[in-house]
Amino acid sequence: MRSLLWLIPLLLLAACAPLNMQNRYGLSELNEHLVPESSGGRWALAPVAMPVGLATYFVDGLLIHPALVWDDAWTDTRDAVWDTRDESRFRKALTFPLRVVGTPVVWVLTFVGRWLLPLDNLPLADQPWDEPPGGAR
Amino acid sequence: MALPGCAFQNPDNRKLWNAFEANLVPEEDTPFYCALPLTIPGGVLAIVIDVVVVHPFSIIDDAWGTSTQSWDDLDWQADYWFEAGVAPIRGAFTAVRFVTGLVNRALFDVPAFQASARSQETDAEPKPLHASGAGTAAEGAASARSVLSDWLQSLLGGSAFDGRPPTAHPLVLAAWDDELQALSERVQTEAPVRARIAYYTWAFQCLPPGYESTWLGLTDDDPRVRATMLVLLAKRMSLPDHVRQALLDDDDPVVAELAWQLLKNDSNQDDSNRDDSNRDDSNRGDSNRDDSNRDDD
Repeated sequence: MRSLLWLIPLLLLAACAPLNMQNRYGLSELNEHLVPESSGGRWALAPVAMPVGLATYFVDGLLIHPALVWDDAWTDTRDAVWDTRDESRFRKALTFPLRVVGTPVVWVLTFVGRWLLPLDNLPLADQPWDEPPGGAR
Repeated sequence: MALPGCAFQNPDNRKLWNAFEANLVPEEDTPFYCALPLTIPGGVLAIVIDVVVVHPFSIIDDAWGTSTQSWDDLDWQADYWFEAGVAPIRGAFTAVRFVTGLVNRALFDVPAFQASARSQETDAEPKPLHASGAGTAAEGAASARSVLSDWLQSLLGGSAFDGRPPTAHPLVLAAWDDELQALSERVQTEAPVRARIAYYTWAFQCLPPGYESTWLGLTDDDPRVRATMLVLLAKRMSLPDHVRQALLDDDDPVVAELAWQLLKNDSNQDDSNRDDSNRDDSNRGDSNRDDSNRDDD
């Protein structure tokens, strides 16, 4: 039992991101498809909805949200560390080792920030914005 | 016994003591001094009862009102599974908040909980659209549709807009319909330059692909719009080839030069097209850009 104590701070931390409605993926699906219309139906479902809703909340925060933001963290890292468009070839060569060393550090920091904080999950570069549906116009 | 001293700075918090002093303590000097052997222990007893019984019981409803505020405005229809899932946690926090609120009010002079103000808040007009959880989902979408329509109309007319359009992605999507789509297409073709830039900037954050028809202003007819949006978007997104190439070949030299500066490192160009012999600037030496496109420079 004592060995599971480390789960408590992790659960508490992961509970922050789904406070933002945009980060509730499983809960949004449940709300969209499985909500009784009547008040009586909602009360009747409450004994199931409480544990399932809570579990889904933590699945959203612990599994789905980090799985969806790791590539956003990479985009952040790429923009912060590897955007060398305005730099000379010499400066690129000089800072290359620093960029290599800094990449995992920046990625971890941005990933943890995106995972744990209730930020808006706005679309970024290299997301579906690259091409409109139905091809380019 | 000394701890509630702060609360008793306010005479309203010492009801029994006030009543004892008003009714049982003589005002004339002689009876006052003669009664002291009785009034002093009686006063101490009144203070003790105030501290232990009267004041704590009188603030229970205030502490309860404060602690149950988090149960107001829950959306059991649109956000049922979230509300149900966090209800036990909300209940636990309510209990903790009630106890700490009770202790806080017992020790310190905290203003009474305004139940009437709370009910007024509940009955007041809907929250701003950008606030999450404003009313039901359908009400939020309807309000968002109205504000978006007004905003797009103001962009078309070039008039000031009192407020700001909703920025919450799901809210905008729920509100978007054919009428707003038609309005947005009119904005893209008929609105003044600054209004179009404002629209495209908003659309970049709030609209999914396919809702905007001139590729976020990068293919707008006006070079000022193309240049502004290029500066805004170049570092935020990778452009599709046909848009990037159109910008590099832009008729307007300012837009073409901006595109060259901002897009030269995009890696989607075919390396085999590179013509390094044309390059005299070392800063451009590792660009992937096809310089044959810049013969008119």
